[in-house]
Amino acid sequence: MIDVKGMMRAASQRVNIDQLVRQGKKTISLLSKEKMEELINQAVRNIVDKYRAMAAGVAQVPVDQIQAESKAEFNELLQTYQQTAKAKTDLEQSKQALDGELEELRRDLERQKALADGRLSEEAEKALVIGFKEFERELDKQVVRVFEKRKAILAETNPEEAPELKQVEAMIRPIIARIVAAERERFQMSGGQSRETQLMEKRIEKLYAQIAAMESALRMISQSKVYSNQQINNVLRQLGLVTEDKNFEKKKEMLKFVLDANKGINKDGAALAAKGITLANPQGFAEALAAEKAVALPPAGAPAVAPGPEAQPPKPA
Amino acid sequence: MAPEAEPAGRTTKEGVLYIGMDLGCFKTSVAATNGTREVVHSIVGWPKDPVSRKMLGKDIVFGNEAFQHRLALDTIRPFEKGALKYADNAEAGVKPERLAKYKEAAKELVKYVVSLCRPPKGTLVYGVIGSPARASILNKQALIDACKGTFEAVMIVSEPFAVAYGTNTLEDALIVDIGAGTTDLCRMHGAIPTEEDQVTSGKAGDFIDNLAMDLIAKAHPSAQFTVNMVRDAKERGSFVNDVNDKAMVTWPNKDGKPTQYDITAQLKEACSAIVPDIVAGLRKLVSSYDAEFQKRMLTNVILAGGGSQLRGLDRLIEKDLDQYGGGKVTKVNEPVFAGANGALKLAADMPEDYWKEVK
Repeated sequence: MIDVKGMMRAASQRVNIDQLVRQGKKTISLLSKEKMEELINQAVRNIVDKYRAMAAGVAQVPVDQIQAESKAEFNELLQTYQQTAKAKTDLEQSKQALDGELEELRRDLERQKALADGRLSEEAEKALVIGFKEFERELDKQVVRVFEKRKAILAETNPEEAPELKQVEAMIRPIIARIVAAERERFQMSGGQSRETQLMEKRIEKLYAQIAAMESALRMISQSKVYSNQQINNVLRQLGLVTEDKNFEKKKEMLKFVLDANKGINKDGAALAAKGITLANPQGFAEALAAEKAVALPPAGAPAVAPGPEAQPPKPA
Repeated sequence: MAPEAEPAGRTTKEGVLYIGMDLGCFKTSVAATNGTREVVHSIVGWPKDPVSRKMLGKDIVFGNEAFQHRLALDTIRPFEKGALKYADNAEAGVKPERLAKYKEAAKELVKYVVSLCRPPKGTLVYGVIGSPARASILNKQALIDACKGTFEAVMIVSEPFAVAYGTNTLEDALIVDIGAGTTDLCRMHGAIPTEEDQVTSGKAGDFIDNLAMDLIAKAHPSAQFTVNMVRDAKERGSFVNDVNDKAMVTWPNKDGKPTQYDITAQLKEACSAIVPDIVAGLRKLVSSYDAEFQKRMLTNVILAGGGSQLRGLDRLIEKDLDQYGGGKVTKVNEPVFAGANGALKLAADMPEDYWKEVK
């Protein structure tokens, strides 16, 4: 065994994380001392095993060769490890990004829903409600005061009518309260308030759909047997979340070529089949192909026309 | 137990499932936009007799299950030796009277592979299938026929082009797709590759297996083994680099006694045998390219396909390229799914109108 840790301590340099951040490095790949030791030891062990097995009857192996092979072996192991680690980091970053977006959407939705439910009433609405309540109380007080005053007058002039007045008061007060409540409701339902609520509800539905799609993507990624950027990209593409790439225009043209090529296959295949030329009976296929070449096939995805002697070597598009 | 496919004859559009498929001579890989990714043996089997029918509990068996129970089945590898895919009957060794059975097997295999993607009822299934660069119109038509009834619409693309599209290496790159039957090389120069941009070599996975078999038989005459055992050993411990690994296998000897054999040298020799053709193909594609950009292309050689998993292959090709001024070879992240992923990307990017035109 080699004292890898000691060697690494001697050869490594300590860097402050703040310093890395200042250099603009947001993420760093970590390769633990244990992992490095494991990789180096494995590489060396493999080489030693090999030469131990070859020891009998084999000439001395040059030290340089052993060193070179150990180095190559280590590099390969390290590359494999780094690729795996990178794939894992990429996945975690993608997941974190999705999580963050989902959390933001959830918060937004919660706010919108609370608004729609009336839990977080807007200031104006709040003032309106409070105003109505105060108005109701004030009106009730006024009614009570009117009846009290009337009672006082009656007590002096006609005291036997006082109970009758009490009955009237008991009837009038609820009626007034009902009328005020109905008016308040009518006022609230009138104007732009209802349309605004509808819009909000639509927005909430959209947000819910987005969240469901996000959750589905996350679930798919987390449950998949194999993680890879390609897989994540496939899911994101399905959700319409993938960012455009530099070859977008080129790809558009290529897709058109692929379509044309396939239309050509269908057309030519049908024409050959009409002549009785199929895979089961390919006699005459070469002649038919040559005849078609003579009339120059349109350039399809994989044109059958061979380049002439004057054809220039292709240049990058 | 294989999931049942949804019945065909969908009339309403309740969503679209895009599928990318790489129908290989030995294995088929598939990727779909719902996250499905599967790789199965390209083999279809029918029970040989009522006993095997009873044992298997089904009339037709596919993929890995068929491979596992192949002794109890009449098996067909519909794309073996390039049958249907790129060779004519004589070349692939298919008797004319058996061709219909091959076509049926191909159709059933496609249906089975699509069923693994579990398309929901009413979903439109659009697919892109990879075909070797040397496939003729008749071969491509045969592939389209195999997909009829399973896909709502299907398109065929060259396999190395699908890899290039999937890895987004559309400019100044050389794609080497090493499958079981063929090694396809494709030059990408920012436009759709034409016939002269593609080279196909017959030296691929099957070639390695057969060569390794011959070499092992010579080196260890007492060993009993089949090509499947050799392939298995190759997949577990194949390498072409000059380092330390040892390929040890335990196979029965002539008396049936399990014996350990060292097949390192034979496997290495067989695996290395495909390299000269690859380098020659690369050289051919590069030398006929614009001189200004030749160097750039050589520094962007991409290996894909199951055969690219041979350890050290990238370094060996780089070493061979040294005589032409050097090059840089890299492997794609997922060699087995590279074709299917690219085909899926093509399918997903394809505008809806285009699908209607090939329905």
